[in-house]
Amino acid sequence: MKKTSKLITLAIGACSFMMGCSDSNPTNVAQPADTPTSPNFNAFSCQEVTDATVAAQLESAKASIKDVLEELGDNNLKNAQTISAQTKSTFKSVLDKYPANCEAQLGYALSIITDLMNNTKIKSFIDTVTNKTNLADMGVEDFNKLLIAGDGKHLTTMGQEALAAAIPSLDSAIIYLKNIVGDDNFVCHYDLENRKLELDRGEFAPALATMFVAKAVLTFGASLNIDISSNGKYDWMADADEYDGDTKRFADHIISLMDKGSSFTTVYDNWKTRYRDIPNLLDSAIQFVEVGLQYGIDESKKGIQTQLNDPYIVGDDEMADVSAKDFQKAIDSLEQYRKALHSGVEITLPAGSKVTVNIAKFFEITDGWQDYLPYHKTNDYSVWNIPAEGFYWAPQLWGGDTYAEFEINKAVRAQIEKNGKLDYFYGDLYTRGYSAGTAEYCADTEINNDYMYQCFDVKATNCTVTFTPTDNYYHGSDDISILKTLAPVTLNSSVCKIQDGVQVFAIPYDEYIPNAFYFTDPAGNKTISIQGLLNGKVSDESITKAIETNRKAKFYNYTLDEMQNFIFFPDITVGGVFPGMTQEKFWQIFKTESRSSGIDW
Amino acid sequence: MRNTKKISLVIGLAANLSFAVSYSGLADCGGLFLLHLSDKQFSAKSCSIKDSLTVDNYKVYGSFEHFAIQGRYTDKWSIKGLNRQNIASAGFEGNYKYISFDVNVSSHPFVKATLSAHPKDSLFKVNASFAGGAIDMGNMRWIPDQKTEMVGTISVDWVSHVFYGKLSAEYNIRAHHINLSGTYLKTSPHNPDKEYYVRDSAGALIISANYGHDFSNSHLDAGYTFANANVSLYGIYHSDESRKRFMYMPLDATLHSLYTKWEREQVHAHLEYFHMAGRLSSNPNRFFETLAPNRALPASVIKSLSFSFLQKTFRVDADLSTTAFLGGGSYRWNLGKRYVFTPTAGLDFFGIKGDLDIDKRTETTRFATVNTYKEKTFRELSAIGTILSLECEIRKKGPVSLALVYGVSQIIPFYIDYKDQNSNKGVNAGDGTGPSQQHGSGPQSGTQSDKDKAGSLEGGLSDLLFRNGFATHLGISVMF
Repeated sequence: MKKTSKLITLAIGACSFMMGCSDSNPTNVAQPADTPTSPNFNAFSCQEVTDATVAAQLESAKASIKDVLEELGDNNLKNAQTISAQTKSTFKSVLDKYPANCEAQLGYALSIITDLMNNTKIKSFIDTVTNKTNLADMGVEDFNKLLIAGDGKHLTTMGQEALAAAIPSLDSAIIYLKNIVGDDNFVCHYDLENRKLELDRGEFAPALATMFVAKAVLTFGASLNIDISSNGKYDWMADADEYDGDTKRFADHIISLMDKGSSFTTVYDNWKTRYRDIPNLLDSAIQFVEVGLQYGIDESKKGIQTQLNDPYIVGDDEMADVSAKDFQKAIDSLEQYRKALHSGVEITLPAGSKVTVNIAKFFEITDGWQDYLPYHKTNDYSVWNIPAEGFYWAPQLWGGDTYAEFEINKAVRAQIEKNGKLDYFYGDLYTRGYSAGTAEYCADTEINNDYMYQCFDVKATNCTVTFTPTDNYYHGSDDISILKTLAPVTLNSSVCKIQDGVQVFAIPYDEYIPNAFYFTDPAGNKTISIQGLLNGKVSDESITKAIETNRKAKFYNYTLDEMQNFIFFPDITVGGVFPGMTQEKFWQIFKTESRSSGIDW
Repeated sequence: MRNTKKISLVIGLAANLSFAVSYSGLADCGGLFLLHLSDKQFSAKSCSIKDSLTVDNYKVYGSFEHFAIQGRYTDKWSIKGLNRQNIASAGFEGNYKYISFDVNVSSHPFVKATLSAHPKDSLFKVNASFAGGAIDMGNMRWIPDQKTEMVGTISVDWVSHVFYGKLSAEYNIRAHHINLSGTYLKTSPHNPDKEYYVRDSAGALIISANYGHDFSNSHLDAGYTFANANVSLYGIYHSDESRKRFMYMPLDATLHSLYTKWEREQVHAHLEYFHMAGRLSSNPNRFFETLAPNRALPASVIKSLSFSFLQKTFRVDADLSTTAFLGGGSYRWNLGKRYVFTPTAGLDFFGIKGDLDIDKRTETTRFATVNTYKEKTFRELSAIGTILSLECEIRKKGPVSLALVYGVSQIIPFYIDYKDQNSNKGVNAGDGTGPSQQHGSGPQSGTQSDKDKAGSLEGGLSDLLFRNGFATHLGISVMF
């Protein structure tokens, strides 16, 4: 893995493991979206339209709904939006006169959903994202410009406001659809692409279920504090992009986000009630899916004649899509999932491990997920690039993600940067076949949008690396003198030293890993650093042999059995999401499922 | 299509190898290695042992045959077809003054009975054959790329229940030999107790006429065959009492074949022509989709939800047309006396031209929305080349006759032109090699994945055909 992605992956990925203490206190607290006011009204059982004018109005709107469905089928969201905006008002006027007319209710509910894109906040968010995407396409790399709107609002805040804005519309649609699902005699007929389509409870109920799921997703998205800015700015992301995350500002911010006291991933106070209600929304969704499936089962008992124009036919016959037994099996499984939303239900993983899950408990975690990360302590940025574990000393100046290569790149980059805007930089050390302390080094750069590369013969003497340019270069018509005259680089004593008169370098067993944090046991005693864990293990004999034969020592990953002695969780049940889970059970399940998935541990 | 064409080449190869000799005891093995590419593979091999005992007018015979035909096509998933069988059969033959009969039973199980009527001098002969039984057509497996995909491996078995009747008449007068025959075959659909299976319903008519003439020291044969077959294949998912149709393929094929061959002592020459047209028709009606994968899913919540949230169906129209000729000759040397050494060298020229036109219509239904996507693909292959065959037989003459025969054949293409034109991705052209130049035309495919999908056949098509178009066979016979 290249250092670029390695460091960022580690830094962001490490977030999921870090729980260290930091004294940085975020000053810019993100503003939550206002909680929406849900509409409260009743829809009545289906009612016929008797007025001829209104009936004509309804028919014309129904024809438009057919167009909306066709446009949606062809993924033409914009066209669907335009048509639905027109038809929404027609359906509304029919509903004003016949509030219990189910066709108008259905049409109106559908229009509400397709018309969501016309909501001011949603539209504004989409437009802003589109503009920002265009900016990014034009090469703008300033994250403050990309993630903050013109009025100073963060994109994350705008997004959450848009999500919140969609909820009342969804609530209205849910009320109408609930009414429609409540009437098992109500059916709708459409002609779509030479096909007669009959929609009944079998379709309306799953549609209603998706609305509950959508509401749950919107609520989840609007509830969580996802503000990753640092004091309202995104400069730390520029560090991640330009310096592969190798800056103090980046390191400090990642640590602060993962701090137990950080507001990142906490639930906004005004959204806590709604957030805790998400399991009930999911419960409703499952129930309505079951209602739809049960309707199919009931219909199948009458034969297939009443289902001929349904999107699917339930029955045992070959002229049916799915059997009633299959639907019954699905209902039984769904009941299991529904129970898991409120109390612990045992589920079986692919390799046969059994885990008890209580999803409701997950939505009771409102103070951030950092509390459940394994015990660990973070290191100050000043030691991140110092090899502490998982390396050996050897006279060969190995490349390929080593600490020496990292230091050389850092120093060379700093030299070149003095001469112009560096759009891209990466250097590689090639050492295979070279004698101890020597190598070929090639620097790839893009300076002021001009790409060029230059290779050098390098030689380290007393831990100082000198560069002699070779004929291996490319510069087009650009001046390459910046690259040709690299000043010597003295390597840090943690990376290179003189041992018994011989110059030796710190060689990672596998590759460069920043010494960002270490795991501890519950008492706070260090077990292993992330640097040591990811570099695995190498035997002393292997190191001796590698040095003798001028090869890299072969390393082995730690096994899960070994890892369970390094990593401990403060609450392995994750607040009761996995009741009854223990450290031993966790590692056993991990082992069983990893073996099944073919992951070599 | 490409495979079909290659199979037709193989028919040529096989014909070239069939230096049929009737032995009382025969062991024979053969193998065909036609394709072995990263995304396509086809091979066939077989071994058989036959033995017979003749006493007066009666003959008892038995045989054991093992064969394995396998093919694989890989895209983002793999389809593997395999037909591997061990078939034992036994028969009894009786020859009387005016009547002969033959009854054969094989372990498929399959039974065949033939009754012949003829005058004493065999100037005129009428045969009537009737046969029926179950024939295992093999197994097809759909294997997903990732173990974690929603649809796991699906294994489909196909057993065809066949009945056929054949009537033929022979007339031999002096140097003239005339043979006329008509065969009617039909299969009847059966629903086995398996989770996934293919059910077929087929009817086929084969009519052939042959004429032979004996010259003073040579023999000439010529013949014509017409065959027409209608087959409907149904892919069924069976669970408890429910049977669901996830595949429907109505196929219609017509074959016209002409041949002539001439033999004179050690020289053999032949010329063959055939034209085959096949059609897969789509049916607009519900439950007659070419493929409806939702119905093939095993029972699960995902399956139940898929009918509301994501239903996909495919309807395919495909037209295949192939014309081929094969002509050439062989020469046989007879060397030695007690041990007869008979090497044979054959050289055939072939030409083949075929095209496959596919219209695919994909319908996606989500709730009440329907999206239709149409795709047209046209593939064309033209090829000219030779098939070189070498065979050698060593026979020990005497009261106990022993013979060993070994033969190899190799396709050597001169020119191949392959076009793959997709309405959504332009044209892919193969290479023209040998004396002719590249004949592919049109824009090249836009993306690497298109090229990959069009097959590893491109870029060295001739080389691949040369490397893969190989057949061999080995036979041992003993006669008392």
